[in-house]
Amino acid sequence: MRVWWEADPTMEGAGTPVSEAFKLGERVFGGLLKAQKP
Amino acid sequence: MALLIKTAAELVDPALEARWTTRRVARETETLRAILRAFVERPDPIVVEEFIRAFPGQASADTRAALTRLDEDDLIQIRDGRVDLAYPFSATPTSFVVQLPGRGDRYVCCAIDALGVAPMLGQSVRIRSRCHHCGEPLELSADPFGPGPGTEGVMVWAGKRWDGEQRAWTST
Repeated sequence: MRVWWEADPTMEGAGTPVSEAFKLGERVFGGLLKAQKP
Repeated sequence: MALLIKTAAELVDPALEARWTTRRVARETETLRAILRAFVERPDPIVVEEFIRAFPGQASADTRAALTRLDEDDLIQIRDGRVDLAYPFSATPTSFVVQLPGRGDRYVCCAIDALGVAPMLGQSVRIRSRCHHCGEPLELSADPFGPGPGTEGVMVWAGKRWDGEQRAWTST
């Protein structure tokens, strides 16, 4: 990611490990359809 | 300026939080859940008129108004009489694919949306994308409690905007 970002360091944002990104996804969507049948 | 690496807590955006809090308490919640269930069932856009007819116990004007509000709140997108996006799902191709057990592939809007599907459904899923830097295919699993093994080196890029803009991820 560092190499990718250094190609255009004007990009605003931040990197985060996938485990932290999961926490965000869980926070937004967690449990919304938990009763959904498989 | 150095590359910033942040935790989830550091990335939480108050505006995004407010949007999703609104989602959970809005009186349209059942409408939104029905839309999301439809996207779980099949990958196609939802025809608004068919969706309205599927709510026989509710006045069609009320369902139509609920859909309009969800669209205005940027929780779904209606184009040409069809719902073609309902976060996390997209009926149009994106760079992020989630394989639902027994239901096949669904496009999702970004990496964080992809990671949110397992806790949303309470089921394990497979996620496919490509490294934004080198283009190498990325595939990982996630269950309702976290990403699967082998994801330690995977990073997600969270752009400054959070309202539906794609987020990249890389393996480096």
